[in-house]
Amino acid sequence: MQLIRLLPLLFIGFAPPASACGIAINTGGILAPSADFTRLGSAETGGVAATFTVTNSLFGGDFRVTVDPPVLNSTPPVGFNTGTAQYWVAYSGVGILSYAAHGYTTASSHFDVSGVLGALAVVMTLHNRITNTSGLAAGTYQTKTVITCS
Amino acid sequence: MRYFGLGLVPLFAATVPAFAADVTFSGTLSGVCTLALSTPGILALAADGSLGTSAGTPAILTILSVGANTLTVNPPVWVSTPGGYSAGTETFQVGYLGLSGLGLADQALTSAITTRSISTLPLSLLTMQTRLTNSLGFAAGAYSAKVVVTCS
Repeated sequence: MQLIRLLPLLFIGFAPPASACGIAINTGGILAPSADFTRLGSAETGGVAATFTVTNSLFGGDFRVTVDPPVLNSTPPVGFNTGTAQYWVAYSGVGILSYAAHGYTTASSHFDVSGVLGALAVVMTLHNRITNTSGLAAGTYQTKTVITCS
Repeated sequence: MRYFGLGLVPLFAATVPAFAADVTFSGTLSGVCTLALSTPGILALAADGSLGTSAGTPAILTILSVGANTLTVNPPVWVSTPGGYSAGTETFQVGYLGLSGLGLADQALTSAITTRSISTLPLSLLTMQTRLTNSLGFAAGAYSAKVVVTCS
């Protein structure tokens, strides 16, 4: 009888923590022009991809990671036509998240992570790209991609 | 047993809170202008006795500008002429079109050096025409001429 009374306390102790999934930014990316200067992206020669880590605690449950398309994070150079610009994002995972990959898109995308994977910490690679049918103006560009887990 | 059931509820009802992070990218693009010959021109003898692309095929250049640049187009010069060619009074003319919608006025055939100020320009096509005349006419054989275009 005493054993039965203790059971509820044991199960409550295994309830998920408040923050089961998490996104940690490891490094930002660097944009570089393509050889023909029609693109500015992190996958071009001289560019660097950003990396972030997706985490989940043990018994954290299922969750979804949403990757939004990039937006300009600062005022673009003079002469840059924002009305004709397109902002692309692509990402890929490794190991148990190797399925979580998406080619360049201008739309929001997501991938689901199963809680049965248990404790998780996987590094993802993220690329940004800017194109513009009106051309690229000289100057400094900064983009931002919002990643959400829920 | 009543306690056992109550204990399961928090295990499966717990929700994952949303968590967001921003990933930033930055990069600087320096001013540059690129030119490439997309299609070489072909010279042919026109009805008026001139040698040019009006009876042949115009050349097509691709041009892209990042930031402000100046396009300079020189009149044509001979690269090679056949052995029987004698230069009398020659004229060398060049004209171009194709970028007017992006701020460049078309240029009618001229013997002068022409320049155009261009700002940011996506990859665009510039069609080049040439016209060569010689008061002594043209001997049979192969002719080659070039137009030097610079952008900086």
